[in-house]
Amino acid sequence: MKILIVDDEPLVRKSLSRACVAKGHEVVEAADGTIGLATWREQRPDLVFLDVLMPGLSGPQLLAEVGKFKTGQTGTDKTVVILMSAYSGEHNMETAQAMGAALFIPKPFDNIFDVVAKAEALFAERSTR
Amino acid sequence: MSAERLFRGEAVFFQAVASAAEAKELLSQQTYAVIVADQRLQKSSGIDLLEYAKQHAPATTRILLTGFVDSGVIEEAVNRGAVFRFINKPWDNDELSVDITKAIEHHRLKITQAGLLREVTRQNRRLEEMTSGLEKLVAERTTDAETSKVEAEHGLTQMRELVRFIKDLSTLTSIDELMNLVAKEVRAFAALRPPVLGYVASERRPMIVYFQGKQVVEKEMRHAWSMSVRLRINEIDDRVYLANEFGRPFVKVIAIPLKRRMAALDSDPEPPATLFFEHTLSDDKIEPFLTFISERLQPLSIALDRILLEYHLKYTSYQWESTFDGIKDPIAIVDMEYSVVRANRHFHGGSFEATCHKIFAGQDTVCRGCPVQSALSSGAPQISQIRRGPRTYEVHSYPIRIEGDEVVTNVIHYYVDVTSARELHGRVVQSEKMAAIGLLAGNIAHELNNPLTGIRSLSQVLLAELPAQTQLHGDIVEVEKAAARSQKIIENLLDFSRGGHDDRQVPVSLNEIVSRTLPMLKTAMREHRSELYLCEDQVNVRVEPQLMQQVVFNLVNNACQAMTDNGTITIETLVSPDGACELRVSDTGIGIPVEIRETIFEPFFTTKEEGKGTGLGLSMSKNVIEKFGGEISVQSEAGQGATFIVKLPRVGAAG
Repeated sequence: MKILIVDDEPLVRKSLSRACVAKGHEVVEAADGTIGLATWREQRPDLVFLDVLMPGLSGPQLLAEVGKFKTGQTGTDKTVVILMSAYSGEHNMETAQAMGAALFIPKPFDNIFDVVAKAEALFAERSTR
Repeated sequence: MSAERLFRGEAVFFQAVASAAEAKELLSQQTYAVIVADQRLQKSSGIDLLEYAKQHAPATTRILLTGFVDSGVIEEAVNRGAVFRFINKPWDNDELSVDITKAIEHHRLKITQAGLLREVTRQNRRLEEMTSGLEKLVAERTTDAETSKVEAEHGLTQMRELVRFIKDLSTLTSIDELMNLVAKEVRAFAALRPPVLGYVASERRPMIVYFQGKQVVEKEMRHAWSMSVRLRINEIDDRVYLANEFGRPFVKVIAIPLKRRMAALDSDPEPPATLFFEHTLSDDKIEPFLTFISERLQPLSIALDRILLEYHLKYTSYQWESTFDGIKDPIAIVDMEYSVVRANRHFHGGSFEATCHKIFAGQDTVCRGCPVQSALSSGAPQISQIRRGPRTYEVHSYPIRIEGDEVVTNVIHYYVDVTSARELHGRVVQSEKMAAIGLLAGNIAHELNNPLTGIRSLSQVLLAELPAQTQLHGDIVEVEKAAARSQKIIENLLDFSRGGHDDRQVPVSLNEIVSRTLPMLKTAMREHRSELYLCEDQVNVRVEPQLMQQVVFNLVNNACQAMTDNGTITIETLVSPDGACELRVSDTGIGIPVEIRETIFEPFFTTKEEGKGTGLGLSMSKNVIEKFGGEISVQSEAGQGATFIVKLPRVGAAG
């Protein structure tokens, strides 16, 4: 599948990217929310890893721009979104799903391969529906 | 120029003169209640005139008119002229009339007081004169008696008894004693019931004094007795009055008014003090009784008068005393030697024979921060804080200048207990501090978590790609572990600083609490050797983990600060012989002197420099531990370091 990683922390992008590539996925990266939005529209990814706090557009703002927020999961955009944040106080699974994301993962990750595995499972579930 | 006019509902006579000389002339001719002098007079000053007035007409209340306020003039006026009030020019008519009214009242009070004192002295002298006169008479009669012994025998005994009665009267100090004396005196007349006395107390309260068995009882009446000053025998009005007030019939009553000289001071008439005797005397026995009592009437009146005057004087000061005693804060008047001149009940335990610091704080030296000296030297009110044991008082020190005194020698001290206010403030500061740390920690955690996520995740990716058993693989394992450890520390920091958000008590291992807290103390512990002995048995306690972590943090941090050079800090968990969980934190510092061992757990006690410690760490720890049903104590020997012991009930396995 085609994966978009939007995160302003280079090491997070690099590690996620390498873990995904190692599993045979195609990966595109974006260093902030604004680039992320442009890349999303241009590349039409199957799955997006989206950070919450970033320069430019934040994760939730980006989702609103894409239209995820308005249309919800039944909308035209079928992209699977995984929202990630290190500031767990502000967001959780509930708020993430309310804005159209499929999953919320708090940072730091315990094991990056578990994260990739969760992404694959979500994508598989979405495709078969 | 003179004028009489209605002044605040009262006729007041005003007289105005243009010069000091004329004023002095008038002062020598008659008495004035108030003198108002302008400071600027031709060839003289207002102060000079008032000083003259003070010397020649001391009862006249003195007021000075000044064009501007000059502290020099005020001081001079107070010291030389003992001025009652200053009025600034131009004056406000309303204020002026208030001041003049007050001055007139002041004058009246002075006159009344002086009159009362004069009267007491005079009456005492009269009693003395009467006694000595009578003694002389007795002596003369004794000589005469040698010639007509038998005839005079009876009269002499009577005379001696009268002299004894008068002597007894002069030593009386209360109405109770007077009643007992009268009762004893008339005992010879068997047909008399014990006496009943009616008198008017302060504030015109009609009082009746009577015997209840052997006890003298006093009660306030709704109505007063007859206004008549006649001696009354078996009159119906007196019987009705007593019957109504006592709720029982009175058959025959002799009413003997006692003439009160001082009653003349009051313009409104009040009923004369009256002695009532209920009796069953036959008509022929009444005459001897009346003779007997009329001989004693005058000294009796004088004695009663004196007692009531003393009551009145005492009552005036008693009103002030009870007012001050009613105030819950301690108040004392202290002189320049720190001796207590007067004090209210909340200041002293009853004794005045000591210094204020001895009575108030129980110490032989002046309290730290005592405002007495600065108040005396500056002459202006001062405020400072002093400590009494664990409590802090704000001391308001007001210098008092007694009329005519050159320098201030007394101050009024008003003590307000500000301990709780300070404590509350301290707690607010502490909780704000914790909130600020929490916010900061949250932000830092976020900033650190992002790169840490990257480091750890990338290490995991690299480990997956690298062949195992290579040196690089081993190195990356270390990097991954270090990142994981860092994450844990940040997590703990967040938990620690979030204290209060999740205040549920949960079973948790004391060992875990210690292990989670120590990484945050690495900097503090760096300069010392540390030994950690964690109990191998289960040491679960039911606590709020964040609060318990704060306690461990405080104890270890204090231990580190107690040691100047390389010391050893020992942290130990164990199960005590009585089955409780124990945490022991020991240092090898200077130890805790015996005299402060009790106070270290009190709020705001700190041995650290100003600004370094809040003095709340140990008190907060004590509160927390007691909240969890445990106790905290300290063992220490001077120079041998100290061990803080936390004991908590042991609970079952976590979960």
